[in-house]
Amino acid sequence: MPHASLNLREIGAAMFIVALGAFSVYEATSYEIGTVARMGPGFFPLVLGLILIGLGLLLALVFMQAGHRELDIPLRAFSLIAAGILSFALLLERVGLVPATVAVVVLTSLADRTTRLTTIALSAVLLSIFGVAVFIWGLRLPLVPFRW
Amino acid sequence: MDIFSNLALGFQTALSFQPLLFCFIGVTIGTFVGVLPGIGALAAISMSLPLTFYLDPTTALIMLAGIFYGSQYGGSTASILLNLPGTAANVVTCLDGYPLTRQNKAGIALLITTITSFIGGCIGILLLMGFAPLIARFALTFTSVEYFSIMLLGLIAAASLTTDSTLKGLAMVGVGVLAGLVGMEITTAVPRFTFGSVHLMDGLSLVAMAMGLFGVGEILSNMGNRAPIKLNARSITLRSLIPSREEIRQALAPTARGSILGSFFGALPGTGPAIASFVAYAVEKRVAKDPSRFGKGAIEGIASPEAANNAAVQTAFIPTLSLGIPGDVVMAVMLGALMLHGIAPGPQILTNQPEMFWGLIASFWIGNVILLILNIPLIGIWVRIVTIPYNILYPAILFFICVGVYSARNNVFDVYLVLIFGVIGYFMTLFRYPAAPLLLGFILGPMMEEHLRRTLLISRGSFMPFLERPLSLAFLLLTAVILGFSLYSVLRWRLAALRQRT
Repeated sequence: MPHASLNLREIGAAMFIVALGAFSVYEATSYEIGTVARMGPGFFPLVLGLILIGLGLLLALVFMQAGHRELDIPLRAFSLIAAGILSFALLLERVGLVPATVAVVVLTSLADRTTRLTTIALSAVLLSIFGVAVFIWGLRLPLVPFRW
Repeated sequence: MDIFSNLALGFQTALSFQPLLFCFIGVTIGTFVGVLPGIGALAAISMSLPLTFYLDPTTALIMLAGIFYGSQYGGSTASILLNLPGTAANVVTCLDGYPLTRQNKAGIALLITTITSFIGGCIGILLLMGFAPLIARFALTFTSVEYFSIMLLGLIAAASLTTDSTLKGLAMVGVGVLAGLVGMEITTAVPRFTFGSVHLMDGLSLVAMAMGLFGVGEILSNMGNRAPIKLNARSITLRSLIPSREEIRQALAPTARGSILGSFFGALPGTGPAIASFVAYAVEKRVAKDPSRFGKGAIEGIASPEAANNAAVQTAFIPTLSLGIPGDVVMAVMLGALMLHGIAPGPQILTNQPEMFWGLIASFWIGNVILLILNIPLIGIWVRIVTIPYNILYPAILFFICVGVYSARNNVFDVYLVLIFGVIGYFMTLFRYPAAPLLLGFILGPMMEEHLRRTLLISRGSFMPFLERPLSLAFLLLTAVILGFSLYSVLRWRLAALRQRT
């Protein structure tokens, strides 16, 4: 049986866990550690970090020969969805709920190439109306529909 | 008999106008949200939180709970009709539910799942009524020692029972606990892992994390599919809703088994409706005379998991109400709602506010009956809703997620967080790292730190109290057993694989 190839992705993921653990240990040292009997704010993160490092290394060992899978990240779709959510965050308090709604609905809808523009427009309008009615009038969220 | 007088008090509370109205609203929203794939009880509950500010705590809880168990009723609809699970707990229902649809038996499947859901729910409520007061009385004697041990048990159970890889589950628990440490430390007020950001002082938002990992993450994962999930235009005929006698007979025992399994897993902190349904399905397959029928429309395959998840949803309230320990993300959010109203969750609720506890329980009975009535005739309407194409649905879902996350803490920063966790969730799905243990670690971690610190302070650094106190010892032994069992299965599997190679 030939030596199975190394699964770099699994190892990478495991190393990410190790990195998180190391980060925790590093940060923990800047807080007071204290003793077992009188745990300071740094104690728990320190121990946790060490445990994470251990788990990460174990994971790398256990999964380093696991089978591969094709990695096909749909970048265009992701970017549009990210842009949509980011726009919502940026616009919500500055310009109001309605522009934010339109932004998130339009941008994220575009991530799927099969949606027709008229459908997108309709969704945006309907959801804006729904949003204002339910969230602002109904639930009294501290939001403004438009902020000129 | 104590229970009857308590129940009387409960029904008195629950049958007044406002609680009844909001119970109805809650279960309807719950069913609706459960039917829609991609948005679940958690999102709906988070978005309804602001509404609860205007209600008294009991009514608020009644409504939120209604959303929770209502979603379990609705979730099976999408699973059966579209092969799209409405909630995580309905994934197994797809396996035998969808084949039944293909055999034109969708109506029967829907009716059976509604009824078994009702039975499961009732059994869960009965157990809740019986056990919660018992456990609460016990829990009054709980000290930090027992709390720490039971939380550890919950985390280990979540890491090993839920997942393919216990090791990955444990790592996720660890990461979750780490995420929970972000923010101001409770006793010393030292800000940890905040990097000077004012937004992080309160810690990471649970809602943002949950909706990011599960909601946004799932949508991102679906983007990868070239063929978007579309309903087969073939008409879904609900010609006959009435199952045959044979089918009813087939559903009886699985329903009973599922209800009991579900009640157990619902009550255990760290496990919930999803695991209950997986285990129930596995058990049915194991005890069936002809396991090959599973996956092709076996009635047992839908009856048992559905009973299980509805039972679990009710018994999930047991640790939450009697101990104040959430077994599940949704429970955690509900506890948060309680705290917002100034009520400290824990065993005292049963003694200090009995009308809230028993009112809630009475509302569960009422709610389940409402759901039974709602679901059967309205199946046609739910079907219509479920046929909304996914490419129109997901932008709406993202919109609701954004608003929901924002409304939990009125903080735009959380919306950024949702995106970040969405991406993390995508990669976690890709690399098969489970998300539920992460969330549980996040919720229980900081509490565990506090209990650990308190215990060690009193014992002056000795770990003996964990082993000396009998309940704690029991929990820790159970933890060891679960860990040991997972390790054993992994080892056996690896040895078998090795043997195959040589």
